[in-house]
Amino acid sequence: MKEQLFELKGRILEAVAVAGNLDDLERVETENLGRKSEFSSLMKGLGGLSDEERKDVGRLANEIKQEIAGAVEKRKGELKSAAYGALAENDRIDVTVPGMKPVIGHLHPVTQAIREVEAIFSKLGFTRVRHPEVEWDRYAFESLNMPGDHPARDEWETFFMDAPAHKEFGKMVLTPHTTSGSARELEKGDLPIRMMNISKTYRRQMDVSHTPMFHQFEGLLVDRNVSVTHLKGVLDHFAREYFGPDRRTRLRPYHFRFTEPSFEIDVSCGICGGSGRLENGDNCRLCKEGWLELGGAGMFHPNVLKAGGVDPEDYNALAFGWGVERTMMMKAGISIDDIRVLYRSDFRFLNQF
Amino acid sequence: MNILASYNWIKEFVSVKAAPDEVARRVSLSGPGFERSFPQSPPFENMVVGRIEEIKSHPNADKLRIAVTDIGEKKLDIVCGGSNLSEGMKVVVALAGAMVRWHGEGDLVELQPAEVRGVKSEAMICAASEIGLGEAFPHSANEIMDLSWCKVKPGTRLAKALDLDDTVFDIEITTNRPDSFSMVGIAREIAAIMGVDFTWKETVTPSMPKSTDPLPFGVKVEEPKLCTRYQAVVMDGIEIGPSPWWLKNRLHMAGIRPINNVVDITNYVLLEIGQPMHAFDYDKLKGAAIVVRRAKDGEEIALLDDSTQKLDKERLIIADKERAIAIAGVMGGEDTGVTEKTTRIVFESATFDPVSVRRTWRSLNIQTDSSLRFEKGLPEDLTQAALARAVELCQKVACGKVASKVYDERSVRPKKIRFAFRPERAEALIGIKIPASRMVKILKSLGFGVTKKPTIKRGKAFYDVEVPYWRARDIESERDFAEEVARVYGYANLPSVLPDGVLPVRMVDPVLMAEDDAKRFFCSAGFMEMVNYSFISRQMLERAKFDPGICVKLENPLTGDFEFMRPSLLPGMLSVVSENEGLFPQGDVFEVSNIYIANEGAELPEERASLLLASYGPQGDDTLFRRVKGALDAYFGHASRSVDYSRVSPNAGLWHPGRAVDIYIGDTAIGTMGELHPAVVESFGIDVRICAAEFDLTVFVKSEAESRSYEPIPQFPPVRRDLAFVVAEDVEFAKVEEVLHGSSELIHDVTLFDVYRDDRIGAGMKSFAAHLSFQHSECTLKAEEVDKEIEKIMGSLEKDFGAKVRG
Repeated sequence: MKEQLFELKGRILEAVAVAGNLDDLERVETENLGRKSEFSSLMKGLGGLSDEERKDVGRLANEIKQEIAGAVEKRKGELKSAAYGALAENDRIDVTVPGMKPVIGHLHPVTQAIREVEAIFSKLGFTRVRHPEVEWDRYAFESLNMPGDHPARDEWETFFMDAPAHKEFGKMVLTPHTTSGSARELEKGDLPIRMMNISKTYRRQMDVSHTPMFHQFEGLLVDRNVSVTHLKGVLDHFAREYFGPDRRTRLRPYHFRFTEPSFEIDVSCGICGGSGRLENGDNCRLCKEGWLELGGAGMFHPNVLKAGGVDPEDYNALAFGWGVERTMMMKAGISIDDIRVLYRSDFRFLNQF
Repeated sequence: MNILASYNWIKEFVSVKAAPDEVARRVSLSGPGFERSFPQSPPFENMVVGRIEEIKSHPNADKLRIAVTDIGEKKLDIVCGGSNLSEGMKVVVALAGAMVRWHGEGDLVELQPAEVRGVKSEAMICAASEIGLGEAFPHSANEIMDLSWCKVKPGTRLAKALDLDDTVFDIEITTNRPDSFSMVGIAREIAAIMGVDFTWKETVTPSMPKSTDPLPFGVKVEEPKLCTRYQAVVMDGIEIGPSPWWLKNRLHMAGIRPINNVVDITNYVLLEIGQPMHAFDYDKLKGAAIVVRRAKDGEEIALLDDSTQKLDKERLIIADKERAIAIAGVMGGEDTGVTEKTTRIVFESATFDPVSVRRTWRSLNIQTDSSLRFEKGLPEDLTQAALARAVELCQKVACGKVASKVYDERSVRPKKIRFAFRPERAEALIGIKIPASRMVKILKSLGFGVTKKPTIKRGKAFYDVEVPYWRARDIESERDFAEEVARVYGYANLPSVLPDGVLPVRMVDPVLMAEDDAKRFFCSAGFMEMVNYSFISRQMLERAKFDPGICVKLENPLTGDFEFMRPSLLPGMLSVVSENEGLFPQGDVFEVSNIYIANEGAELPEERASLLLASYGPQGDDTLFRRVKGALDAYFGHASRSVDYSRVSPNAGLWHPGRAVDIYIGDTAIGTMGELHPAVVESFGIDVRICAAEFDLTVFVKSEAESRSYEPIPQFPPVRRDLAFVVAEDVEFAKVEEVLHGSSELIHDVTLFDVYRDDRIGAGMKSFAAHLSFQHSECTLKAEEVDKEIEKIMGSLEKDFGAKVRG
């Protein structure tokens, strides 16, 4: 019986050695070690042996079985690595076929800009608020140091509503700037204030660079000991966060009725690095002498603080605000030659954002 | 408002030496914005003044001659065809490299030495049109430009000879500073900002010689509130003609066309001092008098721009004894204007009420350099300097002689304006320490009178500052002094500091948060965000079945397209679909914006945040409704709100009566979802089919979110079965679902995955196919148990709906 076992072992090991793939190997394993295999039937013959012999042969059979199992594992390993090695040829697909995209939508570029602006100022503690778009003259002009017939009002190209005037608050208008929200914020009397008002605003202008509806954002900080240096700090922070860490701002004197002093803010040009000259020596076409006009800012006029019930001897207020569209285009470096496309909802435009 | 200013002109009033670029850069950071610079000399490079020494004939051409021309360092033989050549004449000589326009036509070309009909010519004697000066120096076509009047040596660079070694700045002046809207005003700013001397001195009015008999004249101001000062003087012996080059040149650089010497003088003074002036032909005035009065209703005047205006009593005019001769502060009349025949004039230098001038130019739609300045408010004290300067120039360039006293009707007495100035308040505003002496120096350099007060207030310095007359309007309080100090000190010299102090704790408006969240949600879900105008036309409202009568209306819309504020985002979406459906046969869009609901009387409209969602596709697309409803349900789930739907009323107008539902949170209807009425869709010219939803985000946000609770993960696996059954067409799935849940306690989840109709099922019937999931919390369900549940379910479905299992 031992001889039979040895002979069988020889055959099985050979079969294992010649198995050409994993399926063959599995078949060899089942045929030779399974329930109906020769090995099994040999084992059934163990019962007819003496105790001594049975012990002896049984141990041998176990050893042989172990040996075969080891050989099978080894062969399996060889076959697997051969198969993995051949994957590049045998299991190859065309990797240049286009992907199947998940359906994704688009956020309007103005929404994207608003989200960024909001996030930047929220780090400095400015909380976003909302104030009316259809507004009283009182908040749009009167309390902003622009009394009744002031010619400065002309600059705002205001839309008026076909509605009766309010005895106290005057005519109903579409707010031409987010500063009306600041006037309302002051009136709440909840000091100190760090407000960010982002809203639709309206002016009677429509051409390639104006839409009658547009968006502004306005920051207002009211506190004791607030000064022009803080305004510079906040604006520099914004420029670096929004446009990039190497961008700078500068303040130039300007005039608004509601701020004193008033500024225009420039940001250094990202194309020429603020030099006004390109590497090839040409003048930069994007900017004026290295600077791009960003918007207006200033320290609220004492009359504005008074109108909002804030004592200008005790508090100061820094404020800044300008158009979201312009800011967005300055960052994106996209020059939209006719900005009316922003509100025409042409899918060929919206698709790009 | 912008002004074009010659640097040479400005330099007459300020001792500045810096290069133009340097001035532009420094002044822009502290004062008026120097936006652009235009150097004037480049077109005249390689051009010099030459004097013709000798004229020789050309050996090969009759019409050409050879001019031996002195150009300073040498003499050149220049071939020239000019018919007016004469010996001793000064001419423009263009040397090699100069850019000229041959015969004043075509492109500029670079001049090279050449041979003209066999004679070498190293340079060219130019006609005015060949160097771009044709308008300033008119002469006939075959002549050359005669420079004999010019007192410079041969060889002088042409740009220097013609005062074109200059730079013109385009400067933005803010509207509160009409005092800077002039050469003198800009010079004053430069002096203060760059720390150099301001050298302008008011001209002294030349008085009438004692020997002259004054011409009869009179001035009467009937409206002293609207005309606060009127000065006038009569000039005799005027010789009208073109202005000399220096005067023309400066007007030209400022963008003003020269007319004749008298008119040019008024414009020159306007630019130099900032005070508008006018000159009347004295002999055309009826009654030799000026009356400043209101126009009569219907009174007409023919103006210098050839228009005729009908006036009314709101308009202030200048009149003689009989008729209107000018619209005050806006424009003069044709009849009394200065012409070639004029020999006697009246100069007017006056101050008009800014509001009156503004209303007048607006109502007549005539804006002029005069009205632009008057409407900003000019000081009465300015008229004297302007009148004196005009008289001086008139004597110089038009042979004028003073022929009357200076008439001066002034209703507002000069008044000193003073404010206190506390340096420590200025420091607090600016944010750094600045020595008080520095502040005082800055204020003084701008013309403010500064006196230190002997009284010491709380131990701090205290000044009394007197405002100069030209700043009387824009300086309104102590705060203005701080701005003056800060800007001249230089904003660039201030540090950049992040604010410290207490961070106010404020809740973010939940509506704003919800808007942002919804935008991100629907964008992620594949919808494209639109931002449409808040405005809407009457026609669009009516098409979408909204009553314009109850909508918020504009009084002065830009066009009919923008007449109302939209009460809904739907009409905008409809027109967007009609614009895009051609290129995009299907689409998914959304918008989150305010809508406007009118209130009665003097009350602001309500502004409510609204959310619109829409999918559109070809007519055969049956999935639209389920797509929109699915997106909406997913959003409500995301926002932890549970909503109910209920069919719209059959006359919902905008909505398809069989395919739309109102959306409820509890008992509150917050919006509607469904297909739009085919009639509405058609009225927008749309071919595709649209399903939309619009709901009020403001109300939605106020509703209570369902509390999120954790449900333990089941210990035993669910058993899933699919069930397909046929019911009549009018059986709604919600009812079926209710029965399914009601008829088995073990049913855990029902998901409809197919609705199917075909001939075998039969007309008026449909098949629902659903995944059912059964679950027991305490044991694994056996197949037989589930079979029993299915039997129970089918029993109920059959009983309630006559449903049959589909094999």
